[in-house]
Amino acid sequence: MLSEFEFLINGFQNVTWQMVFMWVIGGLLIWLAVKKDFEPALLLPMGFGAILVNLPLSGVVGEHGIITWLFEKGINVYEVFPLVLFIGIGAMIDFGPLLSNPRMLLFGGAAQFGIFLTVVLAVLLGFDMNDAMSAGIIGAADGPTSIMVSQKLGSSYQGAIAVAAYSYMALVPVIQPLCIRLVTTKKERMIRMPYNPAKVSKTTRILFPIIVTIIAGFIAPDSVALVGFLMFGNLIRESGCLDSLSQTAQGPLANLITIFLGITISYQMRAEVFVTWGTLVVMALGLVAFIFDTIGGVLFAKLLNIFLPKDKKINPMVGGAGISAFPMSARVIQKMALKEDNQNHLLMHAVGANVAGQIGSVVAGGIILSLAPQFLGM
Amino acid sequence: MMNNLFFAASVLFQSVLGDVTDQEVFNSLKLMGFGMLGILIVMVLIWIVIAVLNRVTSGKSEEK
Repeated sequence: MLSEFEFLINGFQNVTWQMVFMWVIGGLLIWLAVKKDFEPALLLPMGFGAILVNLPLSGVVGEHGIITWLFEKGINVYEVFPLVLFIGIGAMIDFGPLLSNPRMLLFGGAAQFGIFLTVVLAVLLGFDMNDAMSAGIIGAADGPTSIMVSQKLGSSYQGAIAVAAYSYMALVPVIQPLCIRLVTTKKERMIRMPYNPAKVSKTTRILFPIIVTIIAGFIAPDSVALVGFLMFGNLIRESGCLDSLSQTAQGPLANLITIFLGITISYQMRAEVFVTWGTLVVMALGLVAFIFDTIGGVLFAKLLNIFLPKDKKINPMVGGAGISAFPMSARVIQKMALKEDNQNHLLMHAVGANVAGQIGSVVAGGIILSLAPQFLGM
Repeated sequence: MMNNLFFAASVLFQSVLGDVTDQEVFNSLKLMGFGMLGILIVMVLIWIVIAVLNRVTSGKSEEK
């Protein structure tokens, strides 16, 4: 008689400690989103998803599970969610500060250094090359790029990489000031940079996304999907004739995809793939990537200062804004500059470097994907 | 091809997550060099393009 009611306790019988651990992780992500306001749009769906996929005998994963289906269709096959989200991101970005001060592009490149240094460190720790590249791409400071690249490289740590990418992005206000103070002097942090923007025509604004897509396509063909969708969104914004589409891309489209992306990536947070020592190491490597991105950008600015005349010196903190965490990094630099000298306004320079970092990070992702076959024998 | 000429993928040391071969270390350093060089080339090209665009269209600046 009692055995007929056994189905009621099936769930309890199948609980493992790893599942309980993942519920705690899920709860932690939700807490960070709600209480600490850490990238809530992503961390909350990911936190709930982590609980959802780790319930015993969960109906959302497996052959007919909805999360499995979403993952297969939305991320696994053509990386639809990350790419479509890029249209929204492109529509949100105003490249004006960069177009009027294009030398900031150099910092968008230099501040990707952490990505590649992390790959070397990951290899030295014993990761396979594909996992090492995937751990490095956390330093792109760009969730969709990290998700897409790690997916294309077939990394076993996609869940950890997504969590790390979004968590550290939220921690930029903590990570960057520490790193910047470590490698700059007070005098350097007080360097003033007058802002005299060049005029930017509408023609330039419209041609910019098209030409960037073509250049990226020639140099790193695998970056075309990332760069192309980002620039497509920006073209919609700058065309001036598609305001309603631009608003849709920036708002409803980006929001809708964000909801699905967050909960879908939780597929990779199943206990059996997430609870490993490798996950912890990947999370630590992600932090290293963020740190050395910032340091790379700052040191590059200091290097340029050696060759620049006294009145043209660059405040090295601006180099740190070359990471892609937009617009948080630019705000951090502005805040730091004002703290050192309440008349030193670096915001527009930092925004220029920051949007350059957005381009740099997707190009870095594309370059890694382009070089991967050479190193992985794909 | 070049990798194979110089390296026979011998194990350098045992790390926390597995063996580390000299070829993997060499490849990761090579990726770093090519990667940073590639990004800087793309950025410089974009810089040149922006400079040209700004110059060509400066006469008809519609906005600041």
